[in-house]
Amino acid sequence: MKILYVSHGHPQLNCGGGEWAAWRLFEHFGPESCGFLAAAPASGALPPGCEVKELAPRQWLIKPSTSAVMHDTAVNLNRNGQLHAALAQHNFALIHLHHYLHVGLDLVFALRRWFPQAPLVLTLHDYWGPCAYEGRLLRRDGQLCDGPRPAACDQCLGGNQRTELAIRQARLQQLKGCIDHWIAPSYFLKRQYLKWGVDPRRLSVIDNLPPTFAAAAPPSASAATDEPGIDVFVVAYCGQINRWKGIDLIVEGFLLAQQHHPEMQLQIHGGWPAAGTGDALIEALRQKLKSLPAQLVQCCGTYQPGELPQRLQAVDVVVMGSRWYENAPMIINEAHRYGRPVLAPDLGGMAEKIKHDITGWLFKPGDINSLAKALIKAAKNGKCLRTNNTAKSISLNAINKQAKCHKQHKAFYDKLLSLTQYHDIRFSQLARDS
Amino acid sequence: MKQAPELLEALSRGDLPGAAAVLQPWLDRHGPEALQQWQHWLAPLVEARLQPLLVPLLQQRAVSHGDPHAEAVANALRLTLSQAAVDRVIATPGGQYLIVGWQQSWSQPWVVVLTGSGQWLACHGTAPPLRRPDVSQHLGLPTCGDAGLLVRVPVAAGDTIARLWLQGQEAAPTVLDACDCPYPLLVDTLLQACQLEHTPIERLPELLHHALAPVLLRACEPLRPTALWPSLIERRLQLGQRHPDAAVTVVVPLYGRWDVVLGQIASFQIDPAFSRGLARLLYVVDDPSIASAFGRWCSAQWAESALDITVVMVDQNRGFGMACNIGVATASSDLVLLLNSDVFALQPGWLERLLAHHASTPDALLAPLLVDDEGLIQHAGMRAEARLDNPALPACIHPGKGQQAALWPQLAAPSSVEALSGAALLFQRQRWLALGGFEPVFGTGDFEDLELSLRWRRAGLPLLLASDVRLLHLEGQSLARQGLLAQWRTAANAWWARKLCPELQVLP
Repeated sequence: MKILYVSHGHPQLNCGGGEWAAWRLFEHFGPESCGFLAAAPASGALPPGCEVKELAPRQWLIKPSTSAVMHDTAVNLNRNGQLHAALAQHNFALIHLHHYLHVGLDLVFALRRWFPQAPLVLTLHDYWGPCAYEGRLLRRDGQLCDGPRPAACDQCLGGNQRTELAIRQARLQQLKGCIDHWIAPSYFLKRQYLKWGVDPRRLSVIDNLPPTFAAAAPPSASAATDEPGIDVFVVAYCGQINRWKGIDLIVEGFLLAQQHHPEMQLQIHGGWPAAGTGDALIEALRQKLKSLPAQLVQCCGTYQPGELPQRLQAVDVVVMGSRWYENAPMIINEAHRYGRPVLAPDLGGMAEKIKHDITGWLFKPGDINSLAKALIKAAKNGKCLRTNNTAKSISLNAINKQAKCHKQHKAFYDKLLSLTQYHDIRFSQLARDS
Repeated sequence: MKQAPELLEALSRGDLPGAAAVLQPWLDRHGPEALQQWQHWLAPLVEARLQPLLVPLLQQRAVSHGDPHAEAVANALRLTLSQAAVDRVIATPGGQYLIVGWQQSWSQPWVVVLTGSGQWLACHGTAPPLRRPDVSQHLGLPTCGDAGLLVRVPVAAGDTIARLWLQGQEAAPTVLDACDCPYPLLVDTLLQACQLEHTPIERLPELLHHALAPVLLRACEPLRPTALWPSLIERRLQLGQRHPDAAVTVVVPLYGRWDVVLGQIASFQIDPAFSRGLARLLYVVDDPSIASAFGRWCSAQWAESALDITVVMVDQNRGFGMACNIGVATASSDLVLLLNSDVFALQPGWLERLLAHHASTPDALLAPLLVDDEGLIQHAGMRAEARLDNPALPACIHPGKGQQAALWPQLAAPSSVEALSGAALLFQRQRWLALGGFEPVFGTGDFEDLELSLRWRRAGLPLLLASDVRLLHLEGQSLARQGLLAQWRTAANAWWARKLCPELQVLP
């Protein structure tokens, strides 16, 4: 199956969930025949005069877009350009886009021209369609957003951007007419894009492909301490550290809960932005953590996806605190795979990945008390969590979902390719909620 | 001294050749004696404040005859005049010069010119004074605020200014040659010469009437012949598929920012009417500063487009009206739809409906209803009213502007309106050309649509609004509408509209 995957970044250079989701499909469906095209992390990442860099056979990096509002493409899209020369010989049968961010909308339109027989599929990873401001449906003032309005969007973008917003909107309308089928990894995201105007007959829900998990389940958390009688309960945050992830809320909620359960510990796994990068919230969090006893909150540093099983060995529950409607955070799948329940805000795509009281606990978004209560509840059920049966059950479900996800993608591709007249309304036959 | 009345008479008329014809023979006969008694015979001239005209004649005699007495009298006369200076001379097309300067005490200034061909020319500045706080400060005279002056000097075409006197003071000023500058830039140059940072804008109508308007009319005169318009194109790109049988050419002038085209073309590309060949697109780049970048971008993006796209680059910035005129003249279809670059389609099907409406009234100037990005009416017809701040000037009023477009009735047939916005206009190409298109004197843009609407109506042709055809208009994205210069431009164009349209002489 010759599929060109297009991503906003290459996982060798960007560690976001969307990049990994694209990459896993590329790896799964055959790097020997498929292609992987990604935007470089910055224009300077490519040598001067180079628009397209071949990282490996059938893996290309292109200059990134210059505007996150207009989503322009920064490379020559003529047939005599470097990019066309690189791609044209491969005769891709299907193009699976994982973003238009950074690669630009013009690239999507060009791919449509260059590969007229290849269906175009777009997996949505966040809310860049309805949200021109950081794509999170989270306003500049931190409030959740219920959808785009020119004046409100302009305010989020800092003002005087109404024209840019209108241009963007027109270009995204063109994109709507160009994409043959859309994939939403969560129902919540699907609802947002239906509201935004995507044809419901062309939008399916298929979860992102999870990583290939380690074969053996890691030891349970009860093995973390050798001291009998001490009931340590380890809570872990795993992921990117930025203002939207609500790590400050997690810390505050944890400190509240810890008053009731003194043996509770918090671990933070993930890379911190460089000091002094200007985010006051992150700087305040950094200072706050410095003031806390090291055994209470541990910053464990960045990790690669393959390291997660080992990191989770001493962890009882994984916690999220995101302030925005996360789409389909992979950490939930990963934590479940290793038998770890997840605490997360009852918000967006997170809410639908967790079965409350079964595979984790949902708490009121942004509410420290609610989070603390959920942590206390989790800690009280600690023993239960550590029984092999519970962990196995959660893990088994996750493994089943992984296998299902592989099959869903394969079936989707097969069906898509079987439809020769892919511009036809028959594409609607594909739409289903997986 | 019997020559004095004749001299006085000639000078009073500003007839310098006549005055010279009286003065020179008389001085030849009685020079030394007469000049020694100058106070006697010059008294009536001084009383009539005509010294500024006599001084140059005397100075010229001093040079041509080596006459020290003439020089002495000229110097003495200069002492009777207040201080004055020329800052610069602006040379404009057709031998029109504008003298920009100041004088210590205000009176209507005299400018005397000796041309390169030896002709004397005297011009009385009748324009109102300009505010010059710099002069006031320089002279230490706080009450001398209105010291600035603007005088138009028309010399014969091809002639030049060899020597120049302002209020009897000879000047050797810097000459700014604006003869070849783009017309909109000339307008700006002249407006800026009015010291617009200080001079009240209320004086602009009089400044236009007495000094600027003749210069501008002369400058835009060569732009009027419609046959000339296609020749103003410097470069042409043909992109995408050809649709030679298109019913309509969509002409879009571009100035300043061109990224709006990304949105506009995106809205056309999802419309089958364009890919099917109902319309051709013609972008008229009226801005050399963006021509190169836009041309490169078009070549990269549109070479394989299913749309028929032509991009023409105008030789220099000609202003909105002229860019439209050039586009209309270049189009080959019977119908032309003028569109601003910030007008986007909201959904497919609009063009067919607009063309169908026009087919039922082919003589009409027909416009769609324009809405803003929040669905509020931006344009549903237009009419002129007196400006609140200056009732002598017209303002364009847009009935319904700001109201919810969804609540505006969508009539099955177009309705008659008083005037139409130039943002979107459909018409027969030949009709437009026969009427002379947009009046070039409006320069950068504004009010040319009102003037054309009224001219269209005067010709007995209908002005119609299709309220069921709705397009998005972001309005004024290429025009810098803020700032003093923009205000002066608008006021100047309002003045032109009033001058050119009898209907606007009495405003409601």
